[in-house]
Amino acid sequence: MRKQLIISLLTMLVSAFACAAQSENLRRQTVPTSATIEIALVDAPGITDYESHWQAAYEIRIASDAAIWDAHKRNESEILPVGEIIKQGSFNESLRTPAHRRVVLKVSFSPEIQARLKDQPPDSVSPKMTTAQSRDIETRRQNLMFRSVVEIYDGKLKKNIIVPISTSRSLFNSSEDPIQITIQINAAGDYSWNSSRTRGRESKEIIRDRD
Amino acid sequence: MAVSQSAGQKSAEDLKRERERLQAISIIGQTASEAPLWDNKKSAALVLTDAADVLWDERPGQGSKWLIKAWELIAQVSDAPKDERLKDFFTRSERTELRTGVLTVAHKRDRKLAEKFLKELAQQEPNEKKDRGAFDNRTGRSEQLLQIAQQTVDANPELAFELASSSLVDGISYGLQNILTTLRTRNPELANRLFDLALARFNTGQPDAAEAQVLSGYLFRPGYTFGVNARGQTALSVNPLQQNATPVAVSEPQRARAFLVAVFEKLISVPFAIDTPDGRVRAQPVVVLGSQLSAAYRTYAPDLAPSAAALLAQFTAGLYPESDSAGKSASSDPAKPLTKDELYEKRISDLEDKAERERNPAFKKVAYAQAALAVKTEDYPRAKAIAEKIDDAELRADTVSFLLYRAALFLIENTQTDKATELAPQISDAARRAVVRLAVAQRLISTRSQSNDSALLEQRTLDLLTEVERDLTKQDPSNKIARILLGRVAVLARLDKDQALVSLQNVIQVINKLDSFDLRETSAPDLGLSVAPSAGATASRPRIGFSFRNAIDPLITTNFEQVAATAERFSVKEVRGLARLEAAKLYLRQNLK
Repeated sequence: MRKQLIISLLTMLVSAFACAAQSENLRRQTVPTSATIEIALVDAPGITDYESHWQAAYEIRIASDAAIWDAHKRNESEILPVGEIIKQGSFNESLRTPAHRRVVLKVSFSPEIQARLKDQPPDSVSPKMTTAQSRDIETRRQNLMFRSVVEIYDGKLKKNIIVPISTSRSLFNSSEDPIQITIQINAAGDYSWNSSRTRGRESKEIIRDRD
Repeated sequence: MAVSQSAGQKSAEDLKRERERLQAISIIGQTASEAPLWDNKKSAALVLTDAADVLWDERPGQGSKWLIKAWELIAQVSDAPKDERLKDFFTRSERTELRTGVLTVAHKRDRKLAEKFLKELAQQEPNEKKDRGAFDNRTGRSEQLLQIAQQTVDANPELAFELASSSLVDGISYGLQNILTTLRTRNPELANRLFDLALARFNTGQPDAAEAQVLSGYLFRPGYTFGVNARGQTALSVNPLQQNATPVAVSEPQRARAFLVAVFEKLISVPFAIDTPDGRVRAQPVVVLGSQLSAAYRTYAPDLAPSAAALLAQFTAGLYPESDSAGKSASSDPAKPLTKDELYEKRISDLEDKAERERNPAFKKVAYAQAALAVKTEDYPRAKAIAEKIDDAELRADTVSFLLYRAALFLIENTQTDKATELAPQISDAARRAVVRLAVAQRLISTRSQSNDSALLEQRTLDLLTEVERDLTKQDPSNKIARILLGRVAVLARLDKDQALVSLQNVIQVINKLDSFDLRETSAPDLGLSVAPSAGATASRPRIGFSFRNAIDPLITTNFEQVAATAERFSVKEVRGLARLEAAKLYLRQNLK
C-alpha cells in the first residue's frame, strides 16, 4: 500500500468563486435580514449521562469575497480570522434532553449590513467582464463566517473533547435557512462535525442546473 | 536404529502437519458457509473472498460461487467515505475496498468473472465521481483497475500494465502515476508503453490539469503528485519512498517533450476567460501546472518555453493582480523573497502572536495548540514551550504528550533509540507512551543480531513490554488499547511464544468488551490531538503491525492448534469467524512456503 503524506493544501479557491454561471432566476436576489446557526450534538457515548455538558465560544463575521481571497493570497487565512465581527458570545448547557443538545444562534443584520447585502451585484448581465468588474463583484459579494470552539464534557468517557469549528456561507441571493452544524463523538472519543451546505440557495440551484 | 527413530519422528511431524492442514481447510470451509447469514456484511464479504482465494484449487467450483456471493453482499456495505475528515483528499469507502478484494481474487483465478464484475460496475457507476477527492481515481471502474494493478505490479508487471491501460478509458487517474513509477523499476519498456497510451488518451479528449499533473509527476518530480478535487482545490501528495529517484525525463527526453507539447496545445494555449470567476476556477490549476513545468519547458521544449511563459504570465497577472508583495513583507530587504527557513520562522511567530493577541480564552488555547503543532517535530523543546502557555490543564497535558510522542517516534525512526527511551516516561498519555515503548522494543529486537550482549538486549526488551502491559491494563478497554495490545503480542511472540499466547488470550478479553473491532486493521492507532484532526498525520507510524494477524504471525507454524483454539474465544460470531479464517489462512500460506 502506497504510503502517502499530505503535506500541504496548496491552493484553496474560496467557494464563492465556484459558482459563476448565472441563470435568470438568480437575478431576483433576496436579501436576508438575519442568519441562524444551529449547532447540534447528535451522538456521544455519554450523551445521556447526567454529568455530560457542553459549552462553546463563537464568533460570527461578515467578509467580502475579496477579503477572503486577499487573506488567502497573503497566506494569512490560517493566522487571522477574516472579516468584521457582527456577533460573538458563548453558551453553556447540560445535555439532559434532546432540546439541550441543540443550540440556535441568531444574528440580525444591521441596516448597514442589509444595505451591503442589497448592493451585491448579479454578475450575469454581461457574459464577459473585465478584471476591474470582476474585482468589484468580489468586493461587494458578502459571506457569513462562523467560527467556534465547542467543548463537550462526556460523562461516560470522563473526558473533555474540544471541537474547533469554522464554516462559511455566501450571502449572495442567500436564503434564511439556518446553517446546521452537527457534531458526533464516537466510542473512542474521536469527533467529527459537518455543516449543511456552506453556500446559500445560489449554489443549490446552480448544481441542479448543471445536473 | 537412530535412522528409523529419525524417520519415525519425521513421519509424526508430517502427520501433524497434514492433520493441521486439513483442520485449517475445514475451518475455512465451515466459516465461509456460515458467513452469508451474518448481520455484518462486510465481515461476510471478507471471509468469502479469502475463502475463495485460499480454497480455489482445493474445492473446484466453490470459489467462484463464494466470490459471486461476496460481490452481492458488498452492495449492502456503506459507500460513505471511510474518513469524513479526509474526504477532500480521498473518498474511498468500505464498499470500494471490498470490491477491490473480490476483483483481485477474480483476476487471479477467473478473468472472465472479473470482467463480468467490472462490466457490472461500469453499468452501475458509468460517470465520473461527482464529489471526488483530490487523490481519488476518476471512476469506480478506474479505481478498481488501478488498485488491482497496484497490488499486482511487483509480482506481475504485465497484468498491471493491462489493467492500468484499461483504466485510461475513463481518463488519466491519480493512481496511474505510482503504477508508472513502480512499473519502470520492473520493466521500463512496459512503463514507456503505458505512458505512451496515457499521452495518447490525453491528446484525444479534452483533458484537465489534474490529468496532466499525473504524467508530470511521473516525468519530472518522482514521488510528488498534485491533485485537484471536485471543488477545484489543489493539494500535494508526497510519497517519501520515491522522492529521491532520478526523474524519468532525464532518460526519456523525447517523451518529456511530447508531453510538454501536449500540455501546451491542450491546456496552456487554450483561451480561458479569466475575467469571469468561472474562467478563473478553470485557469487556476493550469497556472499551477504551468509554473511547475517552466523549467521543464526550458530543458525539453525550449522552442515552446517563451510562448508558454508569456501565456502563463498573462494568466497569472489576471488571476493574482496584487501578488507581487506576497512573501516579501517580513524580509529585511523588501525586494528579496523570504528563504524557506525565514518563512517557517515567520509562520511560527505569526501563529504565536495570534494566540497571544486572542482575547477569547477558548480560541486562545486552541491557537496555542495549533502554533505548537506547527513547530518542526525535532524542535520539540520549542513546541513544548509554546504548548505550556495553554491555559487549560487537560489540553496542555494532551498537547505536550502528543508533541513528545511525535518527537520520540521521530527519534526512533532516526535510530536515536536512547533519546526516545528517555522521552517515554515524560509522555503522560498511556497509549502514546505504550506505542513509543513498543517501537523501541521493536528496534531493539531488530538490532539483536548485531549486539554483543543479546541476552541483556532481550531482557531490556521484555522489561519494556512488561511496562507496556502494566500501563495498558489500567486503561478502560477501547479499540486503540486493544490494537496496541495486539502490537505488543506481535513483538513479544518473537521472544517468548508461551507468554505471547497468554497475552493474546488477555487481548481477546479486552476486545470482547468492545462494541466492534476490526481484526484486520494493521496500522498504528491514530493517537493525534483532537483539537487538530490532521495532527496524527505529522507523527511517524511505527512499523509494528497492530492487527490480529500480526499478533499470530510468529506463532502460527509452531502453535497452530493453540492459536485456532484461542480464536474461538471471541464472543461476537463475525469476529470469531474472521479470527478463525485469519489463523487458518495464515497457517496454509506459511505451510505452503
